[in-house]
Order: sequence, then structure tokens, then C-alpha cells
Amino acid sequence: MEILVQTHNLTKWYGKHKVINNVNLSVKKGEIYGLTGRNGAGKTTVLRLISGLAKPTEGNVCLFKKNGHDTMYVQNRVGVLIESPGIYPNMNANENIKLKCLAKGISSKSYIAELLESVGLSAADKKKVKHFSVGMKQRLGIALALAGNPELVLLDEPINGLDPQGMAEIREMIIKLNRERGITFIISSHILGELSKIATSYGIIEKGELKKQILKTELT
Amino acid sequence: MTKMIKMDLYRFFHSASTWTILFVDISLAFLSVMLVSANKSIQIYSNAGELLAAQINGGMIMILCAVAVIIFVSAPYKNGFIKNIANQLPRREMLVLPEIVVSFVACALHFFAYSICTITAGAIFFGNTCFNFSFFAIIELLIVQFILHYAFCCLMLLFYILTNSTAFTMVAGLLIAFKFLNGLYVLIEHFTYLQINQFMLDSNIFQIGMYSAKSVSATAVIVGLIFLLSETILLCMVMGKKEIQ
Repeated sequence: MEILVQTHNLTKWYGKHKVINNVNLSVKKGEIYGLTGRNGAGKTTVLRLISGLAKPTEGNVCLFKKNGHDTMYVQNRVGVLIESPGIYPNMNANENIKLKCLAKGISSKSYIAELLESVGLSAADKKKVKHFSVGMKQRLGIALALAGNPELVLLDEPINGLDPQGMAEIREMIIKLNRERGITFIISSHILGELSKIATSYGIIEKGELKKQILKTELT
Repeated sequence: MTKMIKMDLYRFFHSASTWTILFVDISLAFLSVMLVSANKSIQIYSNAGELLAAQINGGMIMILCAVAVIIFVSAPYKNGFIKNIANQLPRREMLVLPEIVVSFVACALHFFAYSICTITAGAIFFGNTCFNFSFFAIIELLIVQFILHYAFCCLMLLFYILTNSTAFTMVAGLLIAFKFLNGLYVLIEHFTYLQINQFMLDSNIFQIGMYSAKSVSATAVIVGLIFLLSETILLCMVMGKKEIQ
């Protein structure tokens, strides 16, 4: 299967702290890759480096067969939800998605409606985001990551702050998008139990080092 | 790039802050002219051009334009929306260009709204004598001052992108608008005999009037354009090195 993301000796220093140390991970097309580890292990930093939001101190990321600086040309095929959802609180859900769609060159109103429906927010499309619950904001963040039909979606702790029902809904949505649209997901979470319900392969990260990459069958 | 500009323009015209600041522009323009007209002892303006020049020299619209630009530019960084769009352009440096374009629109909207309202208020409070001015002279004044104001807005944009701090940028903008740097220019002139204020944005904004010599206006335009070019280059360089938080 085609490899979509490959990192080579990815290392990141913040000041005197080595946050990521020689991470070599590979994600195949169509996978749901679960990146797991304790809080502060470096999961978010790995996702930030893959998405191009941060630059590696050493090593490089190979994305859609593009290396180093060339990855900037394929970054628009990646959707991200990193840390908290980046949304305008004084705008409604519809307007937030519209902004991302404008940046992507999508002008169809039905596309926005479909996207909101796919994350279960169609009833709240005109509601200001500042009145949303944590779970609704998280769903909107996922809708923003999905806007523009990305081939790879990076979700950082997408089930944070969700109740068990919300977790199950997000899980089902990710599985559906993966199966129906063939979207590859990299999902980080410190809750291995939750990841194990959806991920097809795993990367276990500890103190900035990728300790192991295993398939779902190996986990059980 | 055009898609990003469209997105920013949509946000600009759908933002409550845009219309709030515009309301403040209009209110302050009318209020300040009304206060001038109420004080019979200081009616020194023979026409609307002089009145407008004095209002612009006061630095009020300079502050309003800067506030509008800072609020607009800082929003996606503060709430994290920038993470959704940062990877849409093939070069990180380009991410700042739509903001420079929309800052032009923001500055133009507030600057010209304030100017038109000042002239209108002049006509209301001073009567027909206020229209005894050269149309071309006032257009020239507006163009020169607009270039300087836009360059000042881009300077604020540069401060924000450099520091990531709205508070710092606002305070820096306010201090400049309150002529805080004049003391520094006097000191530099005292020790170096270089009239540095001729080559600074703020000094030119405070001194260009209806009857400024052509050479002074030309110098002001050149200063404004040099600042604009340098700021654009610096903004691209800073953005190229910046990590999106």
C-alpha cells in the first residue's frame, strides 16, 4: 500500500528542550493511525511537524512523496485539528466553514450544509459558536479539518471533553469517512482504549521517542 | 492567493468590529468638529481643507485605522483559525500578503469615512464658507496622508506579527500617535544634526497640511512608500520563519 506520510529522524528542540527525538513513523494510505502516549510525550508536536505548522530542527517529513520544503506544495491536501479547534466564536458554524471553503475556492452552499450534516451540526448551523458546548466545538473543528476534501486528516485529541455518547459519535464518523471517502487519519490520544476502537495501526510515543509501531492485530 | 484575499474580505465585512470602528470614526469626526465650532475663540480654519488637515494631524484617525487593522489581523492568531488555513499557500511567506491587502481596504474605509464625515460636519457647523477650498488640493492632501496612514497600519501589522502581542502593538501605536517619539527625534537631531523627523511616518502625518510645499508632500509620499516596501519585505521574512501556534 502507498505510504502517505513518512518521517525521517524527525527531531524538534524548543530552546534547550528536545521535544521530539529521531521519530521515524510511516502511515499508509487508507489507514487510521493512532498516535498514543502520555500527556507531554510529544504527540501534538509530531502532528504539528507533519502539518507544517512547525519546522523540524533536524530530519524531515515526506508527505505524498514530496520531501522537505516541497511538502508545502501538498500541504493543502491535509486537514488539521490540532490542539483546540480554531474557530471564530462570534461567527456561526456556517460562517466558520464558509471561511475555510473560501480559502479552498469552494463556493457551493450545499457543500457546507453536507459538511455540517456529516458532523451532526446541521441543526446548529446558524448558532453562534460561542454558545456551543465543548463537544459541538470539537465537531466543528473536525468539519473545518474536512473542508476542501483532504486526503489526510490530522486530529489531535479529537475526543477531548466529549461525553461517552459524543465519543461514540465522533468514532463512528471517522470510521465512516475512512471507509466511504478513503480519507487517511492520524489521530493522537492518550486514551489507548478509545483509539483501539478505530485505529488500524498504532505508534507509541514516549518522552519524544517513537517506541513502537504496531498493527491492530499485534495490539490484541 | 486571491482565494485567501476573498476569505479575509468576507471576514472583514462580516465582522462586528469593522462596523463598530466605522461608527466610532463617524461619531468622532462629527464630535470633534462640533467641539471646534462651539469654541468661538479658536475658529481659525478658513475652509474644510484646513479643518480636515488639522483633524488628521491630530492623530485620531491614525489610532482608529491602526486599531481596526490590529483587531482584524490578530483574530485568526488569537482563536487559532490560522491553523486551518496556514497550509493553503505553497510558501509560508505568502500568508501575510492577504492581510496586507485587506489592511489596505480597512485603512481606506476608515480613513476616507473619517475624512468625508469631517468635511460634512464642517459644512454643517461652519456653513458654506467651509467649501471655499481647492478640490485638487484636498485630494492631494488625502492621497499623501492615506499613503502615510496605510504605511503606519502596516507598521502595526509588523509589530503584531513580530511580537504576537495585541497589547504591545496597541500601546506602541498609541505612543506613536501621541507623539511620544518626537522627543527621541529631537534628541537625535541634537546629537547628530540629522533632521530624522523628515523621514519618519508619524512626523509626516502630523505635519502635512493643505498648504505644505510640494517638496514636503513629495518627501512624505516617498517616505510612506519606502516604509511600505520595507514593511512588506520584513513581514514576509518574519512570516517565513514563524511557526503557527
